[in-house]
Amino acid sequence: MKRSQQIRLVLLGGLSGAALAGSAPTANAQLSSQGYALHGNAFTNDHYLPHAGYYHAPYGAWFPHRYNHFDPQQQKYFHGGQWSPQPHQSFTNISEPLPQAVAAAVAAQPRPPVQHSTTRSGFGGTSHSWGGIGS
Amino acid sequence: MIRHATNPRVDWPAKVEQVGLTYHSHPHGPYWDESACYELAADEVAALETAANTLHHLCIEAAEAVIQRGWWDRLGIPATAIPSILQSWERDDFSVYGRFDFAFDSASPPKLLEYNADTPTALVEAAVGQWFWLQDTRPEADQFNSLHERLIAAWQRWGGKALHFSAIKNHTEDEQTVLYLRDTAEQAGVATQFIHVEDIGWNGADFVDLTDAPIPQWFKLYPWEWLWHEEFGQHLKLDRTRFIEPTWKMLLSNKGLLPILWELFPGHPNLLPAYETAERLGGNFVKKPKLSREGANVSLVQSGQVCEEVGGDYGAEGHVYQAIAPLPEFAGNHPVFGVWVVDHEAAGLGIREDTRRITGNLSRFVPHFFKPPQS
Repeated sequence: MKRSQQIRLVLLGGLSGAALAGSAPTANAQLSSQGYALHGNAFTNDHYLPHAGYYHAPYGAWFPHRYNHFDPQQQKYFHGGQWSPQPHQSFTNISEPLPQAVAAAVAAQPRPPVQHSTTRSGFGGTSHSWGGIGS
Repeated sequence: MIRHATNPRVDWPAKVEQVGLTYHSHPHGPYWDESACYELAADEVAALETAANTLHHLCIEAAEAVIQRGWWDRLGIPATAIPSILQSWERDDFSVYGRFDFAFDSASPPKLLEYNADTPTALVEAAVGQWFWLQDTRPEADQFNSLHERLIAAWQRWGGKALHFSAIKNHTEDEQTVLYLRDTAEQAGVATQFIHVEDIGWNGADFVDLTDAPIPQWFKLYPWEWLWHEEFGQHLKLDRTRFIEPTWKMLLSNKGLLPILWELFPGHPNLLPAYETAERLGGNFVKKPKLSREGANVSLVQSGQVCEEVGGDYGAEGHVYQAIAPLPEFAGNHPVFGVWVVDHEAAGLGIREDTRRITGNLSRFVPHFFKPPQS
């Protein structure tokens, strides 16, 4: 059988349009930031750190491409920040990042601007030239 | 495949409104149209289901290729969005749904027209409207539709405790679509709230709701490409909110992926030839903006002449060119088969038809059924 066995609706058809907007929040859990420390942790090859890149364990640092990423146009492999005709070979597939790599990664993380008042209407403008979103 | 002319239920407007389909008509006529229905064979349903499952995974492979090869320009993705897409991709951020649109004449495999992977609508009618229609009119028949329980299961797998949902103001279809998704999320144990897209706030560190509470997780029925270009788009890169659909869906909800799919999987039975220029298609092709919706700015060209086209404001992001699909015709109507994907698996079907060959925002939703194989 491919059809639903039973459809029970708890909101649809029971809520008026006016009831849609802004009920009291039931949860407002803050997002954690990265959720792990860069100091004192070991990372495997190609671990992705937002705004820093992919970890290359033999080099103890993050780079913009994966470890031994191959570029078919150049016919070269990327490792340790360099392009090379040969893939890098190493037994090291996990390591702790170098202090300067941690510093660079931390510096690359975006910082929210310092301001405390709430502004609104920053989203939704494009839709006003349209009748809806549907696709 | 058979298109049946049928007598609509006497009180059909009230019946569909009761289950949330309050936008069943527009000034030009009915949008929900039960004066006809499609009967499919079980193997036709299987072909559509298989095609959607196959293509979803091919699209994931194509997205990986875009990332690996840096093909961002081919999708017209702004540079500012790339880090967020990569983060979202590497985290494997949760995706709840999408909808493939297929041309399907049952004589050849379903052919992909596009993947509405970011903000698909026509969900209430596919999941709920046609299911209740089936109970009223053909309770012995089957329907390619497990959307409702699959959505609930998807939210349960997601596992989040709370989620803000958003749609734009003054658009009933979008609000009802979001209300239905909230319904399924609530049944999965997720505490939901609604806030219009226009009311979202920014407090200097987080997107916030009308009580100034941060929005850590946000389902938005609002296209990614619009979010990035608007005033608050600059804050998206701070990555303070997890979105559904996730940022990586920008790789799939983009017709720029069609030539990439054809390049990576040439001759695949569920793909139509597609290119970034028209030359290789001769004088017969469909020209599509990479980011258009509801058929906007799509042109059908035959023998070098534009036969059909739809107006709109898209196209600045570039176009792709796709071979013309064989669209079946039933009493002057061309059906397009929208196969829903929920949590990465095909989950249901909605059929829209039009007398034109370009499906637009006035195309009618027509219910379907099939007879299960005799055991």
